Amino acid sequence: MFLLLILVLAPALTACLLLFFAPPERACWRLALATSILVAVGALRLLAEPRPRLLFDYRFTPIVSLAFVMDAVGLLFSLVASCLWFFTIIYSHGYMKHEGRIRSYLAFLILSLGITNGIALAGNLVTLFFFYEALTLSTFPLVIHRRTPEAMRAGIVYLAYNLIGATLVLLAIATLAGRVHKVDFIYGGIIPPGLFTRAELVRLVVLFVAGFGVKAAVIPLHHWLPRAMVAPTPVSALLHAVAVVNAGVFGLLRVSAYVLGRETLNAFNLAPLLRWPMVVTIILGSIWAFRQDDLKRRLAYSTISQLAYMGLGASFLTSGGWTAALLHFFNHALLKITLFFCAGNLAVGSGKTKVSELLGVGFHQPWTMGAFAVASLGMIGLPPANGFLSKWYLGLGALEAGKPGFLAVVLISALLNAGYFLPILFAAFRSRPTSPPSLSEPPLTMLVPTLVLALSCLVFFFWPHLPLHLSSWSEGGA
Amino acid sequence: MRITLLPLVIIVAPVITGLLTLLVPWSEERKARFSLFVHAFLLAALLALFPAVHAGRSLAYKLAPLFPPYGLSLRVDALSFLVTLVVAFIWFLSSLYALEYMRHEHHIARYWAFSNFTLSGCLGVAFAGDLFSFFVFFEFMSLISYMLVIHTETPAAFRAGVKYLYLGIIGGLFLLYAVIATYDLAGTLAFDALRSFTFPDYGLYSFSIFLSYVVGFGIKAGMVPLHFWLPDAHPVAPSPASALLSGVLLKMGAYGMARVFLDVFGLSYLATSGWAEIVAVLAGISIIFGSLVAIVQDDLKRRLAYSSISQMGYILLGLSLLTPAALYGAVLHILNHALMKSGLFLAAGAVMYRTGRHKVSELDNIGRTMPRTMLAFTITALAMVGIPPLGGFISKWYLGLGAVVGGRPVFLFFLLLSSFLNALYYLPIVTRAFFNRAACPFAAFQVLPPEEAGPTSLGTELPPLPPRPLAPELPPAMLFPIVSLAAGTLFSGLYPMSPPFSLAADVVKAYFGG
Amino acid sequence: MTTHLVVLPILVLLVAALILPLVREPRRASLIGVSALAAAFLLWLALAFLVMRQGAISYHLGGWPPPVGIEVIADKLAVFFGLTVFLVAIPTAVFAGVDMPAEAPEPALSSFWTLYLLLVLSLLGLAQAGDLFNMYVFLEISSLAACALVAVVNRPANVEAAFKYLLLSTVGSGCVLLAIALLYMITGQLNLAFLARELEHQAPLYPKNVIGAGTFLLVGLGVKAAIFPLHTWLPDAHASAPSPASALLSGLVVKVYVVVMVRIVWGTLGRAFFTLLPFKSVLLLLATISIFLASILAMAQTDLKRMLAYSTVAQMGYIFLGLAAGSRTAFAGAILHIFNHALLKGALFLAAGAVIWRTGRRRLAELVGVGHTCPLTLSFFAIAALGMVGIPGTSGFVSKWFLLVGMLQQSSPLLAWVVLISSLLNAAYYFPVIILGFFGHGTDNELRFHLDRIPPELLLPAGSLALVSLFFGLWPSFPLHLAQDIAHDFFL
Repeated sequence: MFLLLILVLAPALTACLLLFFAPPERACWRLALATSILVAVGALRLLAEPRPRLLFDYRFTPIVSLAFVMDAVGLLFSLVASCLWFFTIIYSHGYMKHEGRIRSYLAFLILSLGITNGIALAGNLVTLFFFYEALTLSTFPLVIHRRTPEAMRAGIVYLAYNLIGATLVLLAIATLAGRVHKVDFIYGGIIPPGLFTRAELVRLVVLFVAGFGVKAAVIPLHHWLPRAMVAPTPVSALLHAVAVVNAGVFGLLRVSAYVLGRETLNAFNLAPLLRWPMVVTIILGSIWAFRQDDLKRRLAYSTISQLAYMGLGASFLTSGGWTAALLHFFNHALLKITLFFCAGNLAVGSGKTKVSELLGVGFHQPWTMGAFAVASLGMIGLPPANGFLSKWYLGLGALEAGKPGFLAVVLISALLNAGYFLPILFAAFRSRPTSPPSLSEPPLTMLVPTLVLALSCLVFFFWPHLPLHLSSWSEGGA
Repeated sequence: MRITLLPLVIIVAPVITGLLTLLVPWSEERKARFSLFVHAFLLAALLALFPAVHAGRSLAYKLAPLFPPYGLSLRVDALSFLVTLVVAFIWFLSSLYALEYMRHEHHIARYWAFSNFTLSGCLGVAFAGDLFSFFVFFEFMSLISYMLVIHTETPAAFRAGVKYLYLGIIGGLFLLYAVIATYDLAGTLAFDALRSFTFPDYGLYSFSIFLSYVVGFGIKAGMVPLHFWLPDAHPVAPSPASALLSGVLLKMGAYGMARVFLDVFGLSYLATSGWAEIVAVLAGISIIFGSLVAIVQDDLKRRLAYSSISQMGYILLGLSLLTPAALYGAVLHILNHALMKSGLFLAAGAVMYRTGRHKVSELDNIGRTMPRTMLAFTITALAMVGIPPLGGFISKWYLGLGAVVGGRPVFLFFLLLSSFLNALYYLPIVTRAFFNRAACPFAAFQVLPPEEAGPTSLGTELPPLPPRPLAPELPPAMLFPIVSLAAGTLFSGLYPMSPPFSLAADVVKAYFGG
Repeated sequence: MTTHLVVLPILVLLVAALILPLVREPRRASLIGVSALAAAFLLWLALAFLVMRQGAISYHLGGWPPPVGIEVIADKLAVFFGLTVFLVAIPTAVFAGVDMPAEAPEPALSSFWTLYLLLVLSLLGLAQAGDLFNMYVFLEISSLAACALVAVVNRPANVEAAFKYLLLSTVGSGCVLLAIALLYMITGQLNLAFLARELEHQAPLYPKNVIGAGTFLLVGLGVKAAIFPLHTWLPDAHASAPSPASALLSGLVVKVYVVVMVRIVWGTLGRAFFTLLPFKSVLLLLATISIFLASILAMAQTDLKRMLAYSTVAQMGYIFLGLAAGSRTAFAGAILHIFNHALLKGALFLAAGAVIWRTGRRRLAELVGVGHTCPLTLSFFAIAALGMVGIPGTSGFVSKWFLLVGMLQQSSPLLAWVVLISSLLNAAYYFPVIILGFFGHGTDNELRFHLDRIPPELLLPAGSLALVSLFFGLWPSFPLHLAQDIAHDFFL
């Protein structure tokens, strides 16, 4: 209970403090940093109490309550978010030197941390929905932070898409509440057999997939994501590669395993409704990534494609697939944030934002490009980076489900990933300059988090015990 | 120290060496010598394993916490020991050679570091006890060796490197599918366990797995039609690295194929299903194709690269004929070809080092300037052609025997034809080197200098190398490996039953039962 | 004294209303007004406790028993609505104390307060009315007081708006009177309880009367409650009225006629009525059109208060939608929305009024960047707007939730979609105000929160309404249970 206060409320309070009392800038940084450390420690502390249990419950009506639960999946999300937020604050310190309005940036950033933890620890659909909508609102000021016309447009698109998605989710939740009279998360699903006809279930699944699919950037609801790249890079890194999009995927995971449940999905053959949009997203996302010259946009499309891996894994309805989904949830967050941090390093260190400008930049920024190389390996799915294990389990899940064709999809997508990441590396390390190159790496506050995260991608290949343990626990072990 | 820990040490030592080379600020000379020392140590450590292997014990080692969920699993049996021996021996000689050769190149430390990493990858592949560890090391090896290919950083090197890398990744994806599917069907990935597992049927799923293995390993082994990265990649690397690539890394592809045939699917299953025919046919095509195209290559290293394609075809053919004699021939040829091809590449490198010449048409009378080198070259080339009493003859003999015994005499014909073609492209070099062009009895098959001939090669020609300061004499560090390898081929031909060549017999015994 | 408690609040207000014309000084007038309201509120609270404990209390005026005497009922519906009235009227009164002197000329101020109190007491009376006669009297008083409040400010726009309002209102009252006449004709009763009983016998005999009465009630009350197509007076009236009046009108006045309709149609006319007339279907249709049309028109508005007025029309549509949807849960949601929307719209109008008071601007285009001049006020506006859109955590979400669940339980997904799409449309016209206000171009500095240089009498009412609505969004049990009980009593 106390930990809940730390994880959810402390960030909110800090944000209010920053907004209303306008402390000087240095104090703002210290406050933000302290809060993120506190939250990270709190999340790690939760790890030490491995029992799924109810943390807090307040009932409005017999059906609707505000409930927080600590279970494996939520813990995974909370850990990822809390720890990565810490790195982002440090990174922001270096990056935001060139931007203005630090105080509101930090306030909304920290607020979003608390809300993300709320999503992670939500114990039922209504609580999840509450924080889900709140996340859209709290991240909106971050998207439009630069206040350029393009940023404002991106913000409006962001709002519009996300509110529509939330509306669809609300409709689905209301349907459930009205018929099932329960909206809690219980592994295996909460739908009693025989209550819904297949047509009704199809409607429900479509609503959930479309509703959560907006945040999870399922094609064709993904348009907000590339446009949102106009935000400052730490925002893109954290929110649009880790927190917001992961919240969408998290919603899908919760719905598929804890609300609808494997049996219901199996019995009514509903998994294809989830699976095919994921396949389309994987392939099209990778293909569209090729065409992007702007580096952050290329990463955005890569994110779109990779998120669908997680949905695909969950849709196999097997233990291997579920493990793959959770494992990639963890791995992709690390990999993508590394890549985005590298993009930010390139922008600040060499002023380069487009792929076509990156010729030879590897000699001016070897550490950054080294981290980029490691993370690219992970995205392609090659050992010794952690992304390999996600692909392994994904393939295993596909085969366990008896659908080898989807394994082919994953492999083709891996090849496509190679196709748009490797040329960046090739270009960066080509054409060695004749004189010893000047090192133009960004300041340490930006470089060190990048390197640490890249290293962690390698480390978690050799010791993926944490996400694996959590995923096996989520299926009813421990 | 428990002897089962030795394989792990052998794999880890080069990695540590490589890291030290990258990070510690020693002089480059010192780093090179340190690597050489480590490679010698590895060879010695391997020899320490030999008694156990020869006694028929199969040493297994499992390191569970690593590579979850399956754990790192290592295993030493006759075949893997043989392959590791090849790796370590060739690597040692190549490192000795590179001690001198690389003095005139850039980025020496980087070369040594990545050479070590690749070595570690190869050793890991060879020692892997289950498909998961195998795959991880295989991918690692394929990726890291890229740095050796592009070492000279010329545009041609980058072009070759791109092809190399992408094909390596594609091959890796096919392998990933195959490995996961194998796990799906068999429930285990350990080679020992897979030997007792039989695939449930001969249907499409099993076939797709087989085909994926073939594609994945075929890319690495340079099997036609997946070979097209090879003629660009091998010549463009520095010569010691070319020796490694052609002499060792190709064999890892063959090794993988061997494991698939012998352990994963099993000889009886393949015999019944007849799928090995596909590999046999493709191997046959490789043999002829590689030889034919080698004839029209003017660049020496490119000629050797195409020759590798052809020779790898021998090995794959031997594997796919599924008879004891053929298997014996294939395994023996892994050994022999490693010796021969490495020797040839090192000699070619020596010629470039001393004279700056890399085209066959420029090699007139070079035997006078570098007699010892060219003598070694001659011996090795004759071994390639298959002239007794050199090693190449023995392996070809058994391959032919296996073809006939297996009821496929047509492959014997292929082998003979290929030997003839080998002569057509090796002997001219020898004769040019020692005799004048005009006096050469093979005048009809001489390669004309490019201005006189029409379009000759199927791939892109390498741009001319920049002029190199000529060395007054070949340093002993470079001569010794070349000569040793030539001697090795001689030894292999004269005493084929002595260790380590006897290990090939052990392998056959293990799978055919005596 | 206990049973007299039922009429005491109204009496207090009546006395104060009668005294006020004698008070010349505006400050004293506002003080008396606010104190009267406060006193009435306390009495009403006591009444509420009583009703919650004992159940409905019936009071006979002058001791005359019905059907001869006038009956005043204090049941849950009345108490619920009364609480709503006070929760909105008191902050608005505080607001008006400072705002009115700026908006209206001096002589009009004292009449303002009289009218204000008259309006409030008539709302209470309508909520409590137990017979048709009583009801009609308060109906007229409320309409006239409302019109007059619009006209307090002596501008041409106001005069025209008030005139339109008066005209349509009178037509509405006339229709209601006709309906009462028709019912009286066949039953000879004016008291609601007795009327109900008589109607059971007479309705099958005189169906045409009942149908006629129902139609006239729909039209009459519909005009006053601004259902499409009878809503045309509302945008002008609510937009041009002074801000406190707008708050009352949008927040309370239009709602009271819903309460009346619930009492008469659902409470009295009963099930038989619904079988005779497709009342619910017509209501559903009109409500849906109301919602969409008003939302779309709101998006096109350039004046802030006019936009809020159109929003009111749309929100009234929700309430009617919920009443007519045929599900008890939706019915409860509709009743709850009366409460929620009153608070929210009150907050919105008061915040808007504060901004107008401070900056003198009411056109949306001029309000870009106003978040830097009045950040606190705009924040209150934002909170209330989020409630209107139905963001979870706000009171608007709770009522919307119940509407949704109810409609889905009835397997009317179409209606559920209507609610959801219109919420999105709400966002489409509320969010730009907030976004442009806080993040509008030309503002590169950081937002600093300060007290806006707006007097607390203007700031606090808006803030308190916004925060109270937030409170009831997070802890809605009290109004929710009340609404559910009312639904239980009245639902058909």
